[in-house]
Amino acid sequence: MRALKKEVVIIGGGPAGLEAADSLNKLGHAVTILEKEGKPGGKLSNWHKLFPDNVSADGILKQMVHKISGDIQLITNVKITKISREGTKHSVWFNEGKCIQAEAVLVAVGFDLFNASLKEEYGYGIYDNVITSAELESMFTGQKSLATVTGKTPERIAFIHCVGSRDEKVGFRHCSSMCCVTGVKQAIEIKKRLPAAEVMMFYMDLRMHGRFYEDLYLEAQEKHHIQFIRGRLSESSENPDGSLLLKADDTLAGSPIKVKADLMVLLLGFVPTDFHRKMGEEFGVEIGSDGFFSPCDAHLDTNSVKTNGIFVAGACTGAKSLEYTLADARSASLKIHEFLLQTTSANILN
Amino acid sequence: MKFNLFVLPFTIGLLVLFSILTAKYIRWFLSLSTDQRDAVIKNFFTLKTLSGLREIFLESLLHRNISRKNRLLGYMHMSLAFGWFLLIIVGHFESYSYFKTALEPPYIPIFLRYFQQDSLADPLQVIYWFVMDLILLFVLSGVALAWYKRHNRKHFGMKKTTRHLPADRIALSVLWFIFPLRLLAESITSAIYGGGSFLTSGLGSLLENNIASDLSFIASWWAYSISLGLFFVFLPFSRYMHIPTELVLIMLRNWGATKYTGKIDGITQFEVHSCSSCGICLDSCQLLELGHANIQSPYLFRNFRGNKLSDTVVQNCLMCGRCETTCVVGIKTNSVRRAIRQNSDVEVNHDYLRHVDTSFNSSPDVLYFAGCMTHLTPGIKKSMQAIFKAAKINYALVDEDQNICCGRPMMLSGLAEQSLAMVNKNKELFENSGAQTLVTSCPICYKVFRDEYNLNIEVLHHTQYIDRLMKEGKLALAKSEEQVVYHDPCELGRNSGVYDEPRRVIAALANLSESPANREKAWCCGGSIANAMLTSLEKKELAISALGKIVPKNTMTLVTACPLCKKTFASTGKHINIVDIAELVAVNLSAGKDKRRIWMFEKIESASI
Ligand code: SF4
Ligand code: SF4
Ligand code: SF4
Repeated sequence: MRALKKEVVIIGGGPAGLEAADSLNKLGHAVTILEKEGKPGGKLSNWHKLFPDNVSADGILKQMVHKISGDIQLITNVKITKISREGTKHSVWFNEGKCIQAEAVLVAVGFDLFNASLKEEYGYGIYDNVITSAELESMFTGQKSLATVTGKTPERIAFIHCVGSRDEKVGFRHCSSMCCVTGVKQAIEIKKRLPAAEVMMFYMDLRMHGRFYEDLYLEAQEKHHIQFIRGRLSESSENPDGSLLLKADDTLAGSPIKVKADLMVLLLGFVPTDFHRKMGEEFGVEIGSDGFFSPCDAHLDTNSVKTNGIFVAGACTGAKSLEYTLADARSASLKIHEFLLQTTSANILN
Repeated sequence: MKFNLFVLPFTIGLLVLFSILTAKYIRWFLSLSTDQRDAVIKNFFTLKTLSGLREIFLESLLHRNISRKNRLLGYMHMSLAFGWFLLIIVGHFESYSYFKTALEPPYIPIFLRYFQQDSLADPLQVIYWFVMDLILLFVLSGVALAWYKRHNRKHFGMKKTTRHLPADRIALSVLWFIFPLRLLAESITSAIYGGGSFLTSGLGSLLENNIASDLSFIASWWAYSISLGLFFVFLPFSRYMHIPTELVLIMLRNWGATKYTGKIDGITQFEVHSCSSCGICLDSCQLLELGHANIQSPYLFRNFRGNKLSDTVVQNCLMCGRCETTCVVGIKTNSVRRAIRQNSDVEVNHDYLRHVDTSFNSSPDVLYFAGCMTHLTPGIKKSMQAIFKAAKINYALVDEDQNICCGRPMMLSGLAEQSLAMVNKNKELFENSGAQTLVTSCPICYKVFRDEYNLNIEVLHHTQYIDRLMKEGKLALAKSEEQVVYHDPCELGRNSGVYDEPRRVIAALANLSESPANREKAWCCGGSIANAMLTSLEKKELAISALGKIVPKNTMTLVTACPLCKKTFASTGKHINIVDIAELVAVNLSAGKDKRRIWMFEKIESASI
């Protein structure tokens, strides 16, 4: 096996990148991870607990990072400037003139959370008590306190679904598929911490498609008395005391409603990163109508793209739960392994 | 009596033309509103009539407006129109000098060389011959250019020209034949009977030996007469109807009778029939970028004339007004489209209005009407509130809770009558307040409050109001080194004429650069409420393309003055800060405290990965 040792560069040190690095390493390849932040983990590092079973995100991440040692090289604070190809060799350029060469490149750049300021009518960045689902997680992990801006314990909390998803007006038609369950998980967490609080969810329809997700929904209603209001928020405004007035259409009751809330949480959608656009424009990697990478075959080969030697894994091909992200990363590792074996035998024949 | 059968096609054509024109114009005059008719009567015997005639001379004959767009194109139109006009006028003088009567049948001056074949001893005749040849040459040069333009429109400053209907094409071909046929007839006459000047006698001597004969002589006059007659008969059914109609429109405009009444009336008819389908306005229409190439004003007018309107042609328009500012005839394209869109069949439920309370328990000096769109961009509303507070103004926000739309979105989509209930309720609200000034953040509201509400309260857009507060020294502001570019919103700039106040405010706060397409040439952001036909993807495409054209390379911040522009540009996801003037001012007032939330992007991104 060792004789086959080939260089693989993984762009992105989130869950997909870490998992693929471990698998490829075990398959005998020399792996380098390029991570843009100061430490690996991606979005997982900012999360508190994971749905549906409430395990600690930190615990999972520790186990993953633990496997990245020994042969696997991890370079952090990377800003990639260019990728070029000569024959079968790929050169990845980063941080002003540094370059690393590889036989195969795995792109595992994940996703961005929708920039909530673009949905200006919801008031994010304008009204102080409008926060995002990511900011709520950091309140759970204790980085911030679970309170309004003035330090008050919120009595009424509203969650807004589909912010930056299923909304052509902001340019994203796709369902991010993970925010419904994230919202329900977060609502339950709030009720556990603040049992007296009133929690409302404004949703279009609930997409609780994963295993045990429906159980979570049932628990939210029966055990925690979380209110589910079917209707899209149309706009919000700020009362003089800093609380918010939400205007929505209750599509089940068929009438417009106005609700007061102390805190409003926006469940942000998953959107493609700048890296997606640039890989598309400058390297010809195919991009779908949602802006995420389109692999060669949506069923039979979800990890290769048309450009030879470039592979994709994880949420950069569309929103995925952690479970599916990791499975996809392992699948990509096998694809890359097969590819590297093929190029080796081709070389021997030549 | 001087007569020959060949004059019949011309004479009959002329009679048909006059009967049709008279019938049509009388019908349209009768459908003028009382106000419009009163304006005609009141201004008929005033200097306005003279200034109308002057405009007719400058525009319909000399085509000054077209020359401003492109010299060559202007010359082409002038040589055809003014040249033909001169042929007729000088022809009359010449005829008078021979026959000493002004009461000749109208065909005499037209076919004068036929009826006056002999050379007279009069030295004046030689001069007339020379002048008439010169004018004919002038007209022929226009015909040659028109023919050349069909194949080389780029030289005439046009990217696109209109696609013409069969009737238009026939009329056009006939028109192209008229003057060469006149040249032929006069040259053959000269070859046989002598006379003529450098052109006709020159060509005549070339034709003398082979072509000129008794048969070709009479045949050429027949051909010339038939071409004229045919053209006259086709004129009312083709785009050439614009020639006589434009004259009437110019007079009506000078008499102040063209005020928009909200429905299809005589003025609409005169405007629609004044469009020559010249196509000069086409290049200004952004919808061409999306491949919508059959909805532009000339097509709308043409389909209206032919009673062939489709929903797409009527509705798929941004009402941005870009074509209106380029129209060389000055047709109010937006008003015409609005009139055509008017649809009284749709019913609208206004039940909620009954519950709106229009009483006031405070007595504000200034009313702030944020507008529906501004409620979707609360950053603007919050900034305006901060500005009122900083300037210590006694104001009231009138549409916070029970907001009623200003009505313009409905008006633009053809539901003007149905929007009246809202208009009246808003008026009641404004008038009950006792305030002297009404400020709004939305140019759409501004335009309708100012131009259609007939309020006895002063109406200002917030850019104008901030400009005033700054002049009065009520705001403590400091200039920064921020580099910004300003985008003129369609409704504020082109459609309301507010250009300078926003620029003054911005220039006092930041380094203002101008984009090449500014003021009345500004691009539409694509988000127009007047177009319900475009998909969100198409709107986004327009916005991205407009941004690309507006924002200079070294600039990261685009300042606008319309909540809709702001939202539309922001939703492109481009790395550019999109900021309203009110926000620019509020950030400055807070000494940059809230800057982060508005300025999302700090430096210009490099293009590489
Ligand atoms: S998962 Fe739920 S909240 Fe997220 S986009 Fe889909 S429907 Fe909306
Ligand atoms: S108003 Fe604007 S969109 Fe409509 S036809 Fe004219 S230029 Fe085109
Ligand atoms: S609307 Fe005006 S510019 Fe456009 S084709 Fe008609 S006459 Fe020409």
